[in-house]
Amino acid sequence: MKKVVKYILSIGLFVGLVSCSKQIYTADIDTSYYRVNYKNTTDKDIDKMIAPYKSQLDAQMNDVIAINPEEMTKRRPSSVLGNWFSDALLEESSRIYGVDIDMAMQNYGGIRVPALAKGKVTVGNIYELMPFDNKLVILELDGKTTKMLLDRVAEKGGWPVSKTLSLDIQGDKATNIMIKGEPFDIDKTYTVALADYIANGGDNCFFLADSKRTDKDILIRDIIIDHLKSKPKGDREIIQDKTQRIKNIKY
Amino acid sequence: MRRRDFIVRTTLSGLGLASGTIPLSALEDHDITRLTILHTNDVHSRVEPFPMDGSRNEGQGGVSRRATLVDRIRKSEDNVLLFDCGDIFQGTPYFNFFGGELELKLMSELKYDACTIGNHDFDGGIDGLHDQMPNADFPFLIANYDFDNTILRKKTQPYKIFVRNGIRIGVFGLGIELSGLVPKTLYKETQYQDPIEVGNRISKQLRYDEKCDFVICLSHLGYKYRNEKEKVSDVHLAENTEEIDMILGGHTHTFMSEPDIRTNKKGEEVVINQAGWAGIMLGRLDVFFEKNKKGKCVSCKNTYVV
Repeated sequence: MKKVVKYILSIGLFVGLVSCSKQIYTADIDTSYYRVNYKNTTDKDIDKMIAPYKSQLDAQMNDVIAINPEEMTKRRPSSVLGNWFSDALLEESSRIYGVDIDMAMQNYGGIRVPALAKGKVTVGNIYELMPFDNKLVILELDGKTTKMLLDRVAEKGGWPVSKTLSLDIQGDKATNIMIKGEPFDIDKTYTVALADYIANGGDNCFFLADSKRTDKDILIRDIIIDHLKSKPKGDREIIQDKTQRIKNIKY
Repeated sequence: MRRRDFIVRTTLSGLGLASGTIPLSALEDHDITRLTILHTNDVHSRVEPFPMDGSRNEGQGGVSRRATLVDRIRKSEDNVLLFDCGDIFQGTPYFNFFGGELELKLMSELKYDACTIGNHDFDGGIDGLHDQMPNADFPFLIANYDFDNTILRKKTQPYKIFVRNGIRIGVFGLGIELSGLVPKTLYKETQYQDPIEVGNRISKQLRYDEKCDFVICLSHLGYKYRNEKEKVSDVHLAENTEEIDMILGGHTHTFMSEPDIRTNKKGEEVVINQAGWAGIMLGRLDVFFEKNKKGKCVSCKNTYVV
């Protein structure tokens, strides 16, 4: 019996030694970054896989619904793309909900393209700008909650907001807030059009989750597409507003 | 060429060849193994290249072109691993119309070895992700999402071990906190667990129980957060764990021009890398393994392939 134990032990020792002697170390690491672009050839098999999906999409996505006279970029704290987008939300939300809306906004990350190129704007472009299935909702907020939301906008470095709102960012707070040409009043109630994603507490807006809400279950993307399509065909040039609605103030 | 010389030279002295006690065959290439790690992140349904419309990224990216690039690398290297670090879904109508089906089928065709889960991979709901998973021939690795009370129970795995030329490479996945980022109606009863704690535990398990020679984390935590320094990131993960050798990241869409080398709790180096987004970039790390000789440095030579 003892002999067997000894034998097993020595095998164990042997295996241990062997595995020790095969110790593997990292000697060096090289890094490269490849740019994937037109210089790479395409793969025929992959193209074949994509083709049937692509043809289905192209049929719907290539419809030109507006003309953009100049590239619009998305920037913090305020940008021409953000201005156009949130003004469209304001205009359409007032129409859809049949009430006067004080302001519309979109979280910065909700607009998914860095810019909308000059020229033809297709349905596909709007899908890429707003790929999320977010819906537009109207919140009725008391002054205190409105301030929390605007502070959140400031803390995030500025979100796209409609022309009815302007503010300064001081540190991570919103100051010098103007709503429809009037200074912000903490005792007033405000109506805000925004994405259900935010109203549900997204982007850490937890404080909005219990707010009074009206929801007609309409996708923001469809609202923007319809906004552009509703203009008469000869008059579909996007009107740009370059006003700095949110400013960073040093203190 | 110089690199090869360096490794041969160090191997030589390491084996005590100078004294002539080791047969020459020990010098041959099998003592040095090159592992080529390729990675993407935040491809966001970018099936086709960005359209030629004058926009910033026009003509860049595209799965078909990535396929030929990966193919070329596979033809010239013996040990290639291809990973994705999450946010495969969302960003083009391909996702809105087909729910991620094509993205996963294409990744299977490109022979991805594994991926982790990003926050946007929940955009079709946890049920949508579940329904698309059969289109993937590769595992979804995620160690810090507890799916036990969801439809994804047992559909993912915390880690996978790849063996290449006798070298054991342990790969695990970590995801970002979903609460406040993804509507709960989409991720449902998924329980998020602290990435540092889980990362430490899993990497130790891979190193000691699974005897891995190299431990890689596929992360969707984000590289680092300038305005939210407390927020857990790849940098935090690297500095607060002990057994992770490499973190391949995502979420912050960071185009790196060189990897960030951080020091872990044991004073050892951790390599953090990320490859932008949308498949515009393919990251490549060549790790050289030597038997019996501890490497002196983890120097990173950066090559730009345009």
